Amino acid sequence: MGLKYVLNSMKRRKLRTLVVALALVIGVGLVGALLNLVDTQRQFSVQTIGAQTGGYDLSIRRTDLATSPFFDPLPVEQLARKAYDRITDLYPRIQGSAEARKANAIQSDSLQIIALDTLRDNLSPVTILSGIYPPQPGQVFLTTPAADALGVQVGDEVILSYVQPTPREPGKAASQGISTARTEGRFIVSGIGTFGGMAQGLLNFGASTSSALMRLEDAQVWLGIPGRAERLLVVWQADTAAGSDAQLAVSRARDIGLRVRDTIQNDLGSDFIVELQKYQQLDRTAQAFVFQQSFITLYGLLSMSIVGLMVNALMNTAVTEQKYDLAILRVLGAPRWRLFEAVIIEVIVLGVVGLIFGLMLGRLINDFIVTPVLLSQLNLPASVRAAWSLESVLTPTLITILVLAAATISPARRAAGTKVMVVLNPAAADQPTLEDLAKLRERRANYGLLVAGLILLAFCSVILFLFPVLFSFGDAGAIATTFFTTFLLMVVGMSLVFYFITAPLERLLVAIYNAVSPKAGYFAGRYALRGKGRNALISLMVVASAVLPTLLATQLALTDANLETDLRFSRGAEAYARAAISTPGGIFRTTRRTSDRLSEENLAELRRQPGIVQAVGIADDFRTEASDRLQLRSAGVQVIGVRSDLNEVLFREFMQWAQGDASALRRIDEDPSAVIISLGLSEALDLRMGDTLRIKGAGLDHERLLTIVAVGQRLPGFSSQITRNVNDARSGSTGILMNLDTYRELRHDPASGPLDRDAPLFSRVLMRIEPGLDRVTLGRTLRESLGGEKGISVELTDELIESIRSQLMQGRIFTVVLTSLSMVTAVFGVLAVMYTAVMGRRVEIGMLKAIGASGGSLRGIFIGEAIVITLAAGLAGIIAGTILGYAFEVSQRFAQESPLLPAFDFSTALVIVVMVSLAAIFSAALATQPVIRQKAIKILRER
Amino acid sequence: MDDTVNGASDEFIVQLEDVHKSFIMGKEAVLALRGVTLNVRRGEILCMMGPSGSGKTTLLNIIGGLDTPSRGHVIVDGENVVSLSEEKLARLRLRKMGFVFQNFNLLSNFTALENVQVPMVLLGQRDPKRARELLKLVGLGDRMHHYPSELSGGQQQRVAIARSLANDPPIIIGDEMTGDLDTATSYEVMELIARLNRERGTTIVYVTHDPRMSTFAHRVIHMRDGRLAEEQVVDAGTG
Repeated sequence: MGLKYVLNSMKRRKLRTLVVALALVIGVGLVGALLNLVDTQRQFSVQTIGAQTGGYDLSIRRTDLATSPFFDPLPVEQLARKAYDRITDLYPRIQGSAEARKANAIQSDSLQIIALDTLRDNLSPVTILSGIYPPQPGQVFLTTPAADALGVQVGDEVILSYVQPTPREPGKAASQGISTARTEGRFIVSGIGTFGGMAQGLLNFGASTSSALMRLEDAQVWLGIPGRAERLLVVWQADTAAGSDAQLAVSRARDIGLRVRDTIQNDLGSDFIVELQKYQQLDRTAQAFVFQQSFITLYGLLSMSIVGLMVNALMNTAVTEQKYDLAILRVLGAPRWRLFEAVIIEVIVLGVVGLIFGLMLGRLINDFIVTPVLLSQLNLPASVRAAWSLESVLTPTLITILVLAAATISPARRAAGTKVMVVLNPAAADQPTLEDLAKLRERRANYGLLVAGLILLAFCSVILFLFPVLFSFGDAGAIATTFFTTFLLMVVGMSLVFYFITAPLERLLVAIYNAVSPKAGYFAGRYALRGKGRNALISLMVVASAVLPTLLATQLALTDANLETDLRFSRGAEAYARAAISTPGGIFRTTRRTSDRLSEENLAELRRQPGIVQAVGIADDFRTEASDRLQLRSAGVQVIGVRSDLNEVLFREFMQWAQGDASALRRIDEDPSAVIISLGLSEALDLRMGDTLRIKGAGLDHERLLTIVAVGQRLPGFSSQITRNVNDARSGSTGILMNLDTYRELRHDPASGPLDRDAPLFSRVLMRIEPGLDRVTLGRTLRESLGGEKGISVELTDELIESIRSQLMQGRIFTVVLTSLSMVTAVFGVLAVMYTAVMGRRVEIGMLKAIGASGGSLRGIFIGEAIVITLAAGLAGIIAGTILGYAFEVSQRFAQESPLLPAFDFSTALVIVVMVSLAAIFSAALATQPVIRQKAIKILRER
Repeated sequence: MDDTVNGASDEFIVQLEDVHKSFIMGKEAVLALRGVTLNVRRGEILCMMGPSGSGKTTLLNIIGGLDTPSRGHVIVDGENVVSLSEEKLARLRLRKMGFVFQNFNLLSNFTALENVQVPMVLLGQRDPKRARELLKLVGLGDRMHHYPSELSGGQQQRVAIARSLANDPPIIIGDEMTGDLDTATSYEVMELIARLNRERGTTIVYVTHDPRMSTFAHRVIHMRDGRLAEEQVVDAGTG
């Protein structure tokens, strides 16, 4: 009986069957698409990493302890192949830094030389903008930044000057001040373009550094090292699992690396090292993907739960519709489990159809919508495509089974509980119960759900206490799952709490609808406000669907709106300089810098730069203990020495003083006994402006008494040191500002000899820029002038803002994609519930038709009802998501005292409002149309 | 208007001439009406009786504008029903007909007062005062804000009668109005109908299986196999 009865029933109720199947197809499809989205992003990241690290798996070099960085690649190659038989290619290269200048020019610039087998070595993509690649003998191919910096064009001659490296002694820093031999070579520029594989950041795909590419043979002749190489790049057979399981790929690579290293070291000596840059990067990003994967899976579960609610509503309607048939089966002697089975079989049939077509749909959505959008918007390489994997099939399948099982039990039990009385005496079977009567009362704010929501939110805060335990285990998957489950519970909790406000919002919308269309408004208002169970279902679905996207969008909008403020507040000034001692080119040094601090000389040089109005040096590497005069209370502090008046460089609008004012900044520059402390420290030590602060200096019996000239609550550039946080102060996390000479004297142990006044001290220099200058040009000029050998890195706050803003765009695009995908399920939910609503009210529609309601009036009634419910719920969801977003942001900022500019993502809110409104109109029109088209008498006869 | 026997006028408010109606049931055509000719006077109470399948409900639906004949002429209050579109028929029903069904067919989410106002709202003439008066007229002045499920069957049918009078229609169509009611309540409802006819001059056309309920009519017609089989003129209000 089972399957045949179910198939007949499905055939008879085609529209319902179609709606359930479509809902499942869409739901499964979206979950599949979301998982594919993660895979697409992961592949993009893996490819990006591959491209940035040069597309090779392993590199073999000599350490800087070796007498020479150069070696004969042939025996190394043989040993590597012997160690691992799946090596496909080995490419010898010489890479390092050199000074370069255009022939006859004085100004030189440092760039990276890459000498390679230009015909065979295709590890990194080369894009030719002018001229030719590969270069011919005696030629170099320059990357665009190199050509721009040197001011050369194709055909020009450039002079490359290479510093012969000196080996470092074990346990000692590289020798400084030793005169080193330089080797000069002249080359003609063959072409200009870009060269991948050398970029430093993950986000500037396709960017290239300032480099010169040349033939390996040319470099060997130029440097006088025939047949030698500086490194050997190894590529092994592509591991198919690497795309989907980064952890596995990383651990395999480590095993191979160890084998290769040991084999080479055994034969050729211990100064050979191997590096796995690609896998280092991959390992780092793998952690992020675990989080993303968990997030998307839970997001999928939320979407599918909405589908589950819908299936539940539809199956309940189906049971109601078939009540008479089921009762006849009972009269004829069918056991209860047969009726239970009938519902289960129907859902299984629909579930299988939904899964098969849903997985296919997910693939189509990914391939033809999501991926093309991401490719074009995020500039991804065209080869990035999500792969079919067991995970991308299994996860939606499991989620679907779970959700359908939960959604089917109650209608199946209802079917099993059908009474024979339905046939014998329908009036008695349909007697209204007290519960039915209660349902008719006008919908009020639901206190039960409000309490449930509050309990859920409280539960989430309890889970947060368990996080330290999870972190101690370090399992990223468990942490991510717990984190996002908590997050999801929080969203559901907020949905329930804010479902509370759908009732007043509905009343407001009903009033508006009444004013616009009194006739339809009269009915729609009553239906919307009194259809308790059904309307609550729609409301909850829409609220839950709207909360998460709005929350994410609000956070992004706040980040975006506050980006400028945040960066200006944390950076403190328009420009920022620090020492740069690391170099990108391996063992070759471009800088003569040995200290990671800037000196007074550097500060003076910065002040001399055109465009720099003022520069203030900050020294902050001394931690000590501060106390009141009697040492009753004490706390650890970070001592900050300041050279010059900070008023000249800081963004003054962010300053906030608890006691005193900005003039204190000038005072500490002029008065060696003046100090500025934080409000937190002031409260921790119970000291006020004018009081004396005792500071312990380095060494024994070394201390100073300083006068507090101001108590700061908020100071740009010192966001973590000058705060109101008393706990931070007690735990030694705040800072005190003073004159640089006092700082210098305090950090010097008098017992260690005379004070070196020339020692570099500044960890950073804050600068003010001349107004009206082009920031991009100024930034480049400063970097060209101060980079290289001088080793001073300069960053402009405005440039940084622009760079981060472009990264935020990616987040926005992902949010819009997620919003659209999750709202599609809500749209289907509304459609399904409206269908059940119409089916449940067929007789009423028939009666309204009989007494003369036109088709237009009936459509208006149902569309109005749907709009009132969905729009109110959508607005409630938007309000809840926005409040949650602000709550997160405000709580994060409260402790840091950082200001918050309000922001709201109108585009996401608009997407939600438009989608729910369209869903309401579309679903109400679609669901009512078949009934409206029927004659009143036919509908009434069918009851 | 010339008054005649039993308070009905000589003017015909419903005129049916050679009305045929056929349905397709499965693969076979079923003739529900086979050339019915019938006139109903304004102010008359007409009862239609007959066994199941005799065509009485089909005829009632055609008179009420809920259905259209396959052949023949139907004129209701001067309007040719056959030539009207679905939307115009709906308009005609709204203005000129009141309906009372066996199952009451009240809107379950609406109170008694709101149910009575439904036809007024559909006509764009919402009048709560008049709705209250109608409910008082049918004896439900103290049940106005009750939902249908809070009312007894008889009370629900009274609300349905009040609703049928909402737009002051000249004709009330009743389909087994007392079918779901006990005998005492059935009499109460029929007495109310008869009173409305007497006081307001409303034409009543109704179908019943119960011979006792036919005694409230001025005229009873018996149908058999889609044809008028017998006609009987009775004294109004004898029930």
